[in-house]
Amino acid sequence: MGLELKALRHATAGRSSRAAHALQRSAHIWLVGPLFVAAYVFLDWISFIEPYGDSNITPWNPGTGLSFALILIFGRRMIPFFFVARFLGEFISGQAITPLAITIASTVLSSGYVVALLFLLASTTQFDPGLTSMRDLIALGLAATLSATFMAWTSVTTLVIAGLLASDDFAAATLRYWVGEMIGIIVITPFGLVALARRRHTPFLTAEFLLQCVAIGAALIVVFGYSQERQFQLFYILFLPIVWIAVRSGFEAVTIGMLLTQIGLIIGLVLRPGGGQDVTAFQALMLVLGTTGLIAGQLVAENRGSALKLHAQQQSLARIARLGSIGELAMAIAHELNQPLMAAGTYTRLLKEQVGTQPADNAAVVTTVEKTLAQVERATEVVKRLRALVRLDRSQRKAATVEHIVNETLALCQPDLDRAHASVEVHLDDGLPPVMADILQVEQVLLNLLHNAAEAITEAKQPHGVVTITALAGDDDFVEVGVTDTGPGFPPHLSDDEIHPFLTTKTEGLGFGLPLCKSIIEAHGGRLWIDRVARGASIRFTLPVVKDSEHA
Amino acid sequence: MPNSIKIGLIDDDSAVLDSLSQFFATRAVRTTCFGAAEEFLGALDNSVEFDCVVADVRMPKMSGLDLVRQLKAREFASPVILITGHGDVDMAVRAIKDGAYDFLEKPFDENRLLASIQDAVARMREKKCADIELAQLRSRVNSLSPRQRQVMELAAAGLSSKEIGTRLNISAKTVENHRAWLMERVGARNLADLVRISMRAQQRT
Repeated sequence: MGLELKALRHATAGRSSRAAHALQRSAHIWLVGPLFVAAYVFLDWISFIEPYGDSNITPWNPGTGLSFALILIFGRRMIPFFFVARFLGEFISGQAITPLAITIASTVLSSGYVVALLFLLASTTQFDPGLTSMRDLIALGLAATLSATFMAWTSVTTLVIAGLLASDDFAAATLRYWVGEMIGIIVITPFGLVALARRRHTPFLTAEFLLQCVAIGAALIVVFGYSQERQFQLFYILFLPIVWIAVRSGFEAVTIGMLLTQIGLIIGLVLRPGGGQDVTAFQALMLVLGTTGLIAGQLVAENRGSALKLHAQQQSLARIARLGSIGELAMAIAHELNQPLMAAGTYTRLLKEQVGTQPADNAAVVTTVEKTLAQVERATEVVKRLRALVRLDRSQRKAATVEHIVNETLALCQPDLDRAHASVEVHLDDGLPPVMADILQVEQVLLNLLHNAAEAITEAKQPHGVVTITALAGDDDFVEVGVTDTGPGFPPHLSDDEIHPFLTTKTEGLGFGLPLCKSIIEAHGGRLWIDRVARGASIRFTLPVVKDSEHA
Repeated sequence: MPNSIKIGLIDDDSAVLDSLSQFFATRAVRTTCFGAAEEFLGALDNSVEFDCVVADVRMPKMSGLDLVRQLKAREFASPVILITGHGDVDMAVRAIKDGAYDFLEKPFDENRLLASIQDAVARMREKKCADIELAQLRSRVNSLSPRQRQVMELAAAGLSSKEIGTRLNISAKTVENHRAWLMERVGARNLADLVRISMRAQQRT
């Protein structure tokens, strides 16, 4: 199982970075670079709306987002092109009002972004350009926020010093600059990264997603269709389609939905221009919307990922007994034991006849006795092999917390308990020391006990059965775990020594479960016994606490 | 020895083969042991005959259930009894539906198996005797001339010699001759016998 999980982790984490590497190798930098510069300048030109006063500070700057995406995918080689693009962009859009010196200064200041990107590209950061985990998303957000803050502050300061902006405007201009840059990164970068760096795309072009896009359009019409005073109040309607997409269609679809929303927003603002300040306020809201959408989308994606992992673990757990479930194991054992029993029975009856004939053939009798004994030996061997099956490989044991084992098992067993309409109470002592255990084997024990409890409650037809799991620090470096149910309990004559195969209180079953659990716990150096309680059944077992020498 | 039974015993477990064949030896049942169903089919190809087959269900290659189906496809007439180390109702129902004569769960008393074998073989032999008798009867009826058969059918339908003569446009005397001849031929002692034989010959097997 360790192997499977590792493979699974590798598959999800390695997927996008491998795709990004492949793209890096195959694309020629002298083709991609100039294309990037052209796209940047075009975006800068087309997005040049609502400049702040005489400056070229606009409320949305998609070029920055594009730069982030391409540099993160194609690597450091793109950085020179980034500087060229920044220079050309500033030069073209601001040539009428900005002196060349300011344009050059602004280009040099772009190093702020380069530092942030180099941080993300550094191998020690382990940033996955496919944004496969929340960690990647947060790293990108942090790098973007810090660098955009630096850029806004230094750029506006430069403009003020150059006399292009009044110092009174400093705060408002900085905010607008920051929001414009951030919105570009939040909307464009995730879209670009997901589109280019992920090798496999989850299918999102479903009827539902088309409906979600229609919802975005409808929300935009509502926002801009009403009178201008209400636009702010109605902005929140735009959250609905994005949250819908995040929850139902995944992270990739969110990036598309956000891009559509942003484009719609810009078109709406251009068609119905309000005050310049309004645009920034809108974009600030859009920033909140974008952040919410991305985080919600990523959370849902991670949730699905862990459900997948859980499923894989569930499957490997089922395989743990090497012969499938304990029920299947019991069937196989029954078959293995029936063969020698059959033969031994026949030999013994033959023996009775051989001894009865006069005169008895002593040699034949001896032969038959030997054959009978061989069959008895064989049956013993089957039982021995069964013990070997559960004898534990010590190397699989490691320090584990009882809480972890209990929680994982409960997650696996929940369907059984739900079917029995049984509620679970967990009482774990605070500060329990870690135990030395083969986690999967102990989970199998707990799983079996919980399964038995659920069955007992079902058979007793109890509508509100309760299963209680307790754990307390026992004496002699052991943790004591108990599973108690409100079912009919064990018959009073049953003693702990009688936990052996074929002893069962169930109407179906061969009674292999509990003995197997006992063997597993005893192989760990612990003990498993039936606890005498007033009502219901209670099984308790102990697990050894990790010794200090074992910590290393 | 008309009553001796020859069986094929198939089980992948050598101890089961050995103990059962030793038991059958004391009961005058001649046993040939096979470790796999394929080996048994090989023996059949070499036209070895068996009165009954006892086969284990759970075997590595061909299972006992598969064997039953194969034998049915080959129109193998002898009964097959299945034995198994672990079976359930479903398996038993399937086995009987596919044509197995009996289904026993191990461990069982071998006398129970013997009884089942004897029962199966006795039934099969009875059926075989009946089949042979019918075949003989048919060949005797077929050896009659067309005119004699006409006379037999009409006589069996209850017509008198005179009526038969009129219908076939021959004299009653000739009819009488035919009747005497054909009754001897098919072994009928009286008219009732003739009616019975005529009906059986027309019956389908």
